[in-house]
Amino acid sequence: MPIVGLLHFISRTRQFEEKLAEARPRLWRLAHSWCHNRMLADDLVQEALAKALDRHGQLRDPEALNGWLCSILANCWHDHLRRRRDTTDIDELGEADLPADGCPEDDCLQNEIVRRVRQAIAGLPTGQREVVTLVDLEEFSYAEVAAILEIPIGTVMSRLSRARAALRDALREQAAPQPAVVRQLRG
Amino acid sequence: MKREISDEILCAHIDNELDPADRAQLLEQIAADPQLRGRACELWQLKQMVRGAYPLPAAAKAAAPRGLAAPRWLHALAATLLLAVGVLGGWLAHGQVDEERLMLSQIETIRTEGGRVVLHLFSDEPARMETALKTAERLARERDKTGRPFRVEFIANGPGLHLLRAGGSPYAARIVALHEAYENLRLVACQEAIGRLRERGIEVVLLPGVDAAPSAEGELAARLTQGWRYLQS
Repeated sequence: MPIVGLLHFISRTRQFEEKLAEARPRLWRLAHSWCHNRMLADDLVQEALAKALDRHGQLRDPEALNGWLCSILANCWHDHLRRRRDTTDIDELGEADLPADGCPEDDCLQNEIVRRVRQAIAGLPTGQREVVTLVDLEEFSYAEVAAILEIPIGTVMSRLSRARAALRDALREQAAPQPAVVRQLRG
Repeated sequence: MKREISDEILCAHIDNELDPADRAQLLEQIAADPQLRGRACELWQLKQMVRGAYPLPAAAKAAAPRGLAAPRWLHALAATLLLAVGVLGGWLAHGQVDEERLMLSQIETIRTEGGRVVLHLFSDEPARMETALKTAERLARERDKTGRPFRVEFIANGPGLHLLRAGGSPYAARIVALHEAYENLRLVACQEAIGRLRERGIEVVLLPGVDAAPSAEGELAARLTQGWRYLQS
C-alpha cells in the first residue's frame, strides 16, 4: 500500500474508532435495559464494539452506523441468552431467568419510580423488551427495529403494543396496592 | 363510521409512524373522544417513563454529586399516569393541519384548570425548537376564565438549553422579543445543564430575560405537583 493510502486507511480507522467510542454510552444503556445487569451490559457492549471494528468494511452507509451497531449488539445478546439457556425460543425468555442487578451504589435504583419502571420492563418477555427499548430509548422507526431484530414490521407493532399494555398494567398494579386490599375485604 | 381504535394504532401514532392521512383521521377522533384521548395520553406517558428510567450513563456521571439524577418529574408523570388523567401532549410537534385542533383542545383543558402550563424542551432539533417557540407564544397569548393571561413556564434542559444561549441560539432575537412582549411567560434554563457545558470548558451566557433554575427536573417536578399542565416539545 502506498504511504498516502496507508495514512488514509489509518485515519479512517481512527475516525471509525472515535465514532464507536461516541456510541458506547447509548449502546450500554440499551444493553442494560435488556439485561439489567451492569457487568453483563459492559461485556455485551465490549463484544459488540469488537465485532463492529472487525466488520468495519461491511458498513456501507455511515449514516446507518447506529442501527448497524444495535443489530450487532442484539446478536451478541441473543448469543448470550442461547449460551445461558439451551433454547432457541429466546423471545419468550422472561427476566426472571436472568441474574438480578444488586449493585448497591446504583443510586438510580433508589429512585422509586425508576425502579418500578425498570422492574416492569424487566418483567417483559425478551422480544417485547427489545422492541420497546429500541423504539423509546433509541427512537428507531418501526422499519429500523424490524431490520435490527430481523423480524417482520407487524411483529414489531404487536410486540410494542403488548409491551406497553403490560407496562401499563404493571405500573398501575404496583402503584395501587390498596384497591386489591379493598377487593379482598369485599370478597 | 365509528370503530374501535386498537392499541397498535395508538402506539403507531405516539411513535409518529402513521402516514399523514391516517394521522389526520385519528387526531380528529382523538379530539372528539375523551376516552380515546385518555388511552393515547397514557401510552404517551408510558413512553416518557421508559425514556426517563434509563438515563445515558455519561449524563448520569456528570450529575454524580447528588446521585444518579433520576428525573424527578417522572414521579409527577407517574402520578398522572396512575390517575389516568387525560393529558394531551407531546405530539404537538408531529401534527400538521390537525395541530390546530389539538392545540385548541389542549388550551381548553389548560383554561379550565387555571391556565398554568409548563412547556419542556429537551432537544436542539430545529423543528422541535421552532414548535416549542410557536407553542410558547401561542399559550402566552391565551387567557384563563377570569381573563387573566395564562402562566407559561418554558423550561429547557439537556440539548434544549442551546435555544436559550446567547451567541448560540438560532432564535435569539425572537426569544428576546417574546420575553419583552409577554410578562406571563417565564423562560427557564437548567443550571445543571449549564454546569455540564462549563465542565467541558464551554462558556455559557444566557439570553437576556432567561432565568436559571437549579435543576430543570426539580422545577418540572415542582410545577407538576402544583397542578400545572405538562407539554413537551
